[in-house]
Amino acid sequence: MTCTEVRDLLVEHVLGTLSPADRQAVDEHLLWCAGCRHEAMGLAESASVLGHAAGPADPPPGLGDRVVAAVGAASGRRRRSRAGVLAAVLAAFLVVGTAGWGTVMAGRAQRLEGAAQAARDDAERAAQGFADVLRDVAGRRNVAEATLRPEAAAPGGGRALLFDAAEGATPDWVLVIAGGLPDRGAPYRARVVTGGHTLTLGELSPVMQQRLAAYRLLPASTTGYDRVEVVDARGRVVLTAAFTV
Amino acid sequence: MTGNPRGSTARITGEEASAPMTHYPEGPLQPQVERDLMRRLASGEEEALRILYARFGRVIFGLGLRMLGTPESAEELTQDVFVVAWRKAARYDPSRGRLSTWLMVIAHNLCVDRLRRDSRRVSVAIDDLDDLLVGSTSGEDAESTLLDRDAARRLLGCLSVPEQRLLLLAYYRGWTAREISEADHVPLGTVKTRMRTALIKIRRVHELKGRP
Repeated sequence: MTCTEVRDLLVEHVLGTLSPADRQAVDEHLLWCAGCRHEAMGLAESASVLGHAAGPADPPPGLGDRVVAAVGAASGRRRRSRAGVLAAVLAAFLVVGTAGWGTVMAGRAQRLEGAAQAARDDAERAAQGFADVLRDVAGRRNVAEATLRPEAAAPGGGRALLFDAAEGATPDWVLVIAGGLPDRGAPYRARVVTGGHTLTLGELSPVMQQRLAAYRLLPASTTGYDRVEVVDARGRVVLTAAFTV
Repeated sequence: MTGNPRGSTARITGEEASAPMTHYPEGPLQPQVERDLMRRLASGEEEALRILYARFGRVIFGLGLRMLGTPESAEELTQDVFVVAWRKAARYDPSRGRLSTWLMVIAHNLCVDRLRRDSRRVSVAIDDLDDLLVGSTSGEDAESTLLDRDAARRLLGCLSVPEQRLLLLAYYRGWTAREISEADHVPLGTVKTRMRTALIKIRRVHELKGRP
């Protein structure tokens, strides 16, 4: 997003009326652009006047203690979550980066079509294994999954995982694993989309025989992204899927 | 929650009784003090959380009550705001805005997200915002602290009623510039310009009074 585009959205950004995707795009821009950030700060201070105009209200007795309890509980969750994320990353390395079952599958597939099918099944199974581990350590609610299917009768398939962390706890991230895609369409790129907004995850890199993966930590929330796509070198969508929790 | 000059560095566990608090002066805090408070919050000091709640809890609860409509929702919001503030405390930078602004942005974003989730935002009329509209003032007597409702409303009074209505519809009801443009039969660009002009007016009047 350019500075001009961001400045056009800043007023709605501070008033809270942007779509989640636009809000995220503006937030990403503000991370590195001091000029726009300065402009946003001034507008946000003005917008906060609107909030203060509502006036304070007396909360119910004991809310302060319940606030402390809520933060205390979140603090405990975060300690567990850090360990969980570490386990999940380890699991990702094991599933994506090692030559276990993929080698077996490739050995069983003699014909080209069979190999592509095996690679597709392999990619899906790899991601499924990862998803199962991740749900155990991070909680079912935070993990969305999508089974990538080819457009028309093209070859290939795979799976995508989207980890939507609780706000501010850990970065959100997306993992896409695909297989069975023909070499002639390479390099392939993965992206998540919502409405008219697209967030590119990057190029799918080979991680083992016929298995491709893209992984990206995101600087802002993934909330709102509901689809994942894989496009070929010419920008044509070859795999697509909707996320489900 | 009560104050006490002895201070405490008890960890936030949620299992202890109210801890005694370090004394902070009334009125707005200096940026260095705000930074210190947030540093203490990030490191998990319960006292810092209680001080923040004592200062900002009522304002956040009030915003939640106004935007979400029920004490239960406002209470839930207040808890969520402080959980998010604790999570983001290490990233708080006073050079990028006042602590009160930072907390209000968190609170407002959480409210808007809830309203969107519940699909309530477009069904509420402007009428229930009428009591927030302010007659014309010069803004001259607006105090420098935005924690005061009257000061905030005096600042709003530097805007015309249509300007106030525009901002209140967006801020409290989540109406986008496009929705306002269609409802009022005014070009989208004009709505955006009016919104920007109104916010800048508030900023200028506020700056005239000087930052605390």
